[in-house]
Amino acid sequence: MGPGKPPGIDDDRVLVQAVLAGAPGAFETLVRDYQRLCWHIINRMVRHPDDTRDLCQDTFLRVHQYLHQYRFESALKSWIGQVAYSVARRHLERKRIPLAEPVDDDPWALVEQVPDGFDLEAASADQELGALLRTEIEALPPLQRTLLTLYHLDEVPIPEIASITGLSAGTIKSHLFRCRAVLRGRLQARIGGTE
Amino acid sequence: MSTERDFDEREQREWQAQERALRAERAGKRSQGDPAVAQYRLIARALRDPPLDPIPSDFAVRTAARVAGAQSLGEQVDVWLGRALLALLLVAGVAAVYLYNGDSLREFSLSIPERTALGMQTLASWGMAIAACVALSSGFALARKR
Repeated sequence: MGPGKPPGIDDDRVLVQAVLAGAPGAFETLVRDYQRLCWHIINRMVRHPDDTRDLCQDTFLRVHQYLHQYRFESALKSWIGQVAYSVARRHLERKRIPLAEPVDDDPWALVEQVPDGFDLEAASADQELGALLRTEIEALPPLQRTLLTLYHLDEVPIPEIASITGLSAGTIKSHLFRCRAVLRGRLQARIGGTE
Repeated sequence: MSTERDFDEREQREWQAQERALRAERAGKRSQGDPAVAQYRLIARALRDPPLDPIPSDFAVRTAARVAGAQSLGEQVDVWLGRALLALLLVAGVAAVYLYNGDSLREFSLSIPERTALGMQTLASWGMAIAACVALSSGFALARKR
């Protein structure tokens, strides 16, 4: 969404009707309102700027083509997110890139060693730790990366992520839990190794 | 891939720590001293700042222009398809008159009841041909919309 308050259901209704009526600038406004979500989903899935741009454009072309079928049963944001997710998923399938692979680590082995203390601000300033976390996040499979970005960066609630991805809320919760626990395990291992 | 199952007590505690860290990070609260939550806050911070490629500044303008271009192309195709179907109808009509010219001339020599029956038959045939053209044209238009 663009800066400021995200569009509500009434704003969506007005916008959709304007696009369907062919009002000048209406479709550009729709793209502007939802390009961020669409870009995040596709970029986290495919991680290539040119592919992201092309697939995002394809997403909005589809949105325009099928908008007359949108019945306001879910938020417009979820509906556009669904289209973006399915476009990106098909792209990965064509390239034979697995969407979701199990994260093998057993998070408990390291997570259970609770440290006596942890200086958050000092750790934030530690560039090595920052780089480690970024590397570990990027090494996650496309689905898990996307779920974490939707939940943490876009602040999309779990039921809405379920509507976008077609996964159950329980599966999404499980992915989020496991990935974050694994990341903490690796962080713990690094801290244990450097201390 | 389904990984759905209920969390056990230990996992539930860990989930609570993850969620407390997420809320604290969103609210920008000071760290409360729980080392597990503090570690998850560091992870939440990294997750809120992933290495995303920037959205091109003219993305919305370009996308809207591409859609407008595709729409205009579609409208042109509709117009040309309509013209092609009309031309096909005319050609079919001329061909029919040419092929059945003798029959239609002979028709004048038929008796009135016979001529009426043949006229009805011709009318029905033409009606079906026109209906087929309209159905074909509507089918194309519907397929394009879908």
